[in-house]
Amino acid sequence: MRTITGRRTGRSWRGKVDFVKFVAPALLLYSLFFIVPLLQTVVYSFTDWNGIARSRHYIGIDNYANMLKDDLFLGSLRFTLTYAVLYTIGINIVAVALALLLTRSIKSKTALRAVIFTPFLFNDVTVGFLWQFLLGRFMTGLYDKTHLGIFGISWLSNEHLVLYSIIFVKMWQAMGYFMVIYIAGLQLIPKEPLEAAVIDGATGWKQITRITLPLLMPTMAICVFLSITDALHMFPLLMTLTGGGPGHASESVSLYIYNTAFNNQQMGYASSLAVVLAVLVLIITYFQLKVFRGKEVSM
Amino acid sequence: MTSVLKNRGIELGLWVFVLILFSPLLFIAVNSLKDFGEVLMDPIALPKTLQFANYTETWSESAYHRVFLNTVLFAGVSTLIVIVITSMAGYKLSRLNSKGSQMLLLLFTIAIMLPFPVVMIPIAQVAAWLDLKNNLLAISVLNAGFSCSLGVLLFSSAVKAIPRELDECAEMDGCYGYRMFFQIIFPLLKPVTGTLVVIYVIRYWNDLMLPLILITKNKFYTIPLSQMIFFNQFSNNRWNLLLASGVMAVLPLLILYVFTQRYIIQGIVAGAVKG
Repeated sequence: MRTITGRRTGRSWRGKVDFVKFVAPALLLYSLFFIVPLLQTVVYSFTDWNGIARSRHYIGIDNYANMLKDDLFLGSLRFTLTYAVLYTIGINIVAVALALLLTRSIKSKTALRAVIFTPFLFNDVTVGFLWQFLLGRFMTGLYDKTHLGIFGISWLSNEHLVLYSIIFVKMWQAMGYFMVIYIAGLQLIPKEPLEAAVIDGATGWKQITRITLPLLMPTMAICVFLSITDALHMFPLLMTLTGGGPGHASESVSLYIYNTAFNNQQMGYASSLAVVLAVLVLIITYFQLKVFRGKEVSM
Repeated sequence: MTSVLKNRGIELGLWVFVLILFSPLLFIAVNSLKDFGEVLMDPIALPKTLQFANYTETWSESAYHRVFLNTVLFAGVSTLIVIVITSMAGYKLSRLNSKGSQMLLLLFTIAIMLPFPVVMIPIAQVAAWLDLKNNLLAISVLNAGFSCSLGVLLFSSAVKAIPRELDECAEMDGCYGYRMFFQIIFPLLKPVTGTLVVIYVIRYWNDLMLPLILITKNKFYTIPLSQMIFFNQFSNNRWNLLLASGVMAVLPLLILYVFTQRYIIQGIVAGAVKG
């Protein structure tokens, strides 16, 4: 202890120089390209700036007040939240199931895992328009050949179905990602509780629900966190999959902000929407951390 | 015996599942080899003659070689910068372990949670002021600073496992500062560096948003941006070219994945769990 304090006071000058030398590059770039823009967004959100004009006027909380009357914004909010809930539930169920199946003694499991993971590497733009083709033109082609009802449905141009189509495409892209995280989590679970349960006569389904899943909680916390964050951030995929349509039926908050800012040039209003999105995300994150902290302790 | 049979059944079921989910990729590859009319008229049938012209036309139309090299430059330089700056910052912040450094770590965490639109408008502004637009190297610097959160966090927690005595010994031998860090500490951080390289390369390679708002000249397009432009240009009709461009867009990472599959999956998992 004494040596540490001695060193600190004796070499504090070098300590400070070192601190600047090591931390400054990251801190400077991070501040300049993240923290400052973040604060600027807050400032813009109180203005009527249109992105082109040199002048901008402070209009108080008008932007925030207008939001409440903006049906497109409220619609995008509803879409984003519904999507986040359904996507999070869906992808975690599928990923856990795949992970449980692919940790059994199956010969070709390495190959299966590798294939299922693949689409995670594809960029959103490409995944979006490939699936636009598959769910659109290609489906119609299949329908003409087979006359199966499922192919006759317009998956992307029906305003009620489009939500589910997007969830499907996103799950197709990301299920391998969550699967490999769950597999890693399953491999961390100690063998003893399961063996004890088998001796006590617990069978298949009971083993999973009573022993494996509770022990998988920490991994699940991570995956739920990642999938919710992912869902709230989503929009590059939408740009080429649906473009927010039909109408505005699949416009997420992020996409709406982008369109408001860069297509309608309402930078001030878009900024206020961004602030609301940020606050929303932080609140959701806070509650998630709280809920899952509690779970982990109670385990 | 029954459990062996059951596992065989599950295996078969999984392959059917995979086949159904991934057969669309085969159809895409097949359709990318048809001519324009065939894709529209009959997307199911096999091509009458293989139209490799789709690929050559897409290649020259989008200047794929240039787009590819731009993406290599953007992803490569961004990754290099982000690794250097975040390893240094993570190391120092972890070693100091004071109230101030805890606060700074918290500050670095914010960006992980917030979605891109939250900073989108001012970033375009800042880039315009600093004259960074349409300059791939400058955008890479911006990109590294903008996305350094995960690196700082993972490096700072990995440094905890390296004993302080090592730093002190090196300092006694007269090895300080950058030299001490890069010759003695950094090599010990290889596992976490590997994890971060995998995550950042994939993320940067596939990033659309930053290029979309900061690159306006086609000379500097990256793969996702070029895809976006190509899509807007041809949407809903030239599917033969679009599908070919899609195949060309996913192929580089796919080839890399075939050879480095293990490391990629390990890296992704480690990053997700620790992050």
